[in-house]
Amino acid sequence: MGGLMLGTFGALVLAAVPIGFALATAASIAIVMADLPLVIIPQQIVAGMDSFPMLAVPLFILAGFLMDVGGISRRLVTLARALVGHLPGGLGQVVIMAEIFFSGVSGSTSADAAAIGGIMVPQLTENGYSRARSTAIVSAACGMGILIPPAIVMVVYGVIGNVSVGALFVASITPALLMAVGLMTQIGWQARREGWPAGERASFAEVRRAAIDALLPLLMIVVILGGIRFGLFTPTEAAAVAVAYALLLAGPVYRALPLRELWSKIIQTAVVSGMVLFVVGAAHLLGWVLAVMQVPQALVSSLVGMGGGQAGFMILTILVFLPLGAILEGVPAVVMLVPILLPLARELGIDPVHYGTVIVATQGISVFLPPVGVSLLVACSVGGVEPAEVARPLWPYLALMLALTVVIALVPEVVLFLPNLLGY
Amino acid sequence: MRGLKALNRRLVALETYAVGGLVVTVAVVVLLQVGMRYLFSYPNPWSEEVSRFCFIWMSLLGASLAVEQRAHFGFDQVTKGLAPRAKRAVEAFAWAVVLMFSLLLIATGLALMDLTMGERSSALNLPMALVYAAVPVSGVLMVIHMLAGPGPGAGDPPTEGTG
Repeated sequence: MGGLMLGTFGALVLAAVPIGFALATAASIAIVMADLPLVIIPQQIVAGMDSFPMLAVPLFILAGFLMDVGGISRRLVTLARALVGHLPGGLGQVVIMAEIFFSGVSGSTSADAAAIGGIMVPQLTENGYSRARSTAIVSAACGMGILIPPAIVMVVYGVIGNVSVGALFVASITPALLMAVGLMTQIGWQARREGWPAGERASFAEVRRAAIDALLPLLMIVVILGGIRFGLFTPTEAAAVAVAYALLLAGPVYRALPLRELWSKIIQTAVVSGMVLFVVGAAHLLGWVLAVMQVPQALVSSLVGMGGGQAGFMILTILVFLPLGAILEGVPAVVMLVPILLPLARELGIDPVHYGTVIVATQGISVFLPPVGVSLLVACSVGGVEPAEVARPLWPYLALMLALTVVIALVPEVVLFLPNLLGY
Repeated sequence: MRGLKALNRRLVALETYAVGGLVVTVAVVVLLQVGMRYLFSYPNPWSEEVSRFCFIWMSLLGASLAVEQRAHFGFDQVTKGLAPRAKRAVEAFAWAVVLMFSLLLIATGLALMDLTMGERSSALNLPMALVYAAVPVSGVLMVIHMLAGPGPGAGDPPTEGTG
């Protein structure tokens, strides 16, 4: 019965039924066949949405939108250019650096790809990078950026797995920086080998001016992380504060936000949140049916029977999330699989914060996995290239990111050192 | 048909105002919760419930607007590669699935409202049926958006998609 339901779901997804509807329809068919009351359908969908921590999702989405239209992404790119533009492969390095900053104020990977790609791809192609190469660099940067807090997928993992969202935010910082350094080294090496241009070194005065210009946007990262850490507010409240802060910057401070634009961003926030939360509700319903059928228990016992211990389970998790994250998008894959996999991880003694960070890192790769990763498609539409062309220059970056994800998975200290230090 | 399209346009406008208002309410109420706690050291008893209920309505109405915009997350890489005739058939099937489930949301949502008429929320003492009403309402909107929209396979000229 559980297999039939998952098979139905898979067939519906392949027939291009939207993922939320595929989940809910498969679950509903099982409910009808098992002769369970039908009111469970709306009840469980609403129960999946009804959580105060989940409110951080629309609020972080809105904050990210406001940061982008408020001229803030441009300031962050200018600072990144002043800092690393002179390194080998200068503009490529700028993309990575700019994404570190931008991702700190934005919660959504596809939004990052649109914002950073929109600014950087024209600059890159002007300076002799091919469109495919430019899009590949933007994609790699944004795949790394999913690890920089705040991130929607961390909020969702935290809510579903009952794990501290604040701890997840802090834990992913070291892995993110590790990946950023890895990608920058790789780009520098490629640049030296293939003779990509580097920019001129910015003077101290230029760096200072760029830093002052970007100071207020960057302060928001401190407000969010510091506020959560010191218990001033919950992650949801931090997200509302971020919205107010972004509004203040884009409106009265930078005067870059016409009211009409603000309204359209608010509507866009509701639609994107509706897409995400509909999947969350539908996955909650499917999870309920699976639990009634005791599928997770059966799966857990068969997985435990496989052996392999912590390391084996981590590798298995990465292997499961890579393709599913590409097909089902980041959040839906997490909503579906975490309730099944996390209890098993806990049983094996894996720290739930560590486990979540590995899943998030894997999502960063899978949403850019050619040819179907959803954020890759966004980056390609921004870059004006076909996914097939981007694949060639993109693979080496993804391979490096995957290797680093395996390192993160096998060495928990890399992830847990910072949250332990900060007393989470 | 033209009447349906006009009705759909009106409903979309109404939905847009509603979700916009709900997003603003959620943001303001959560901010107020922080503000009241620090400025008046008064933990606000109703703010969490108000924001959660508005959020449920916002999510479901947002989901129905996403149906109107055909924006829901989906995986179309397989159907894209099909021959035009097969592609239209699969698209018609997917369209019918969404329509059927929206109808199911209306029926089961109304049944749930009926079942929970007596239940009241803990802080505001609101009938829970008012929260659950978001389900059948968004179901009705989804059905209208599906029927008034381009429909399955429309917009694709018959010669396209052979590669």
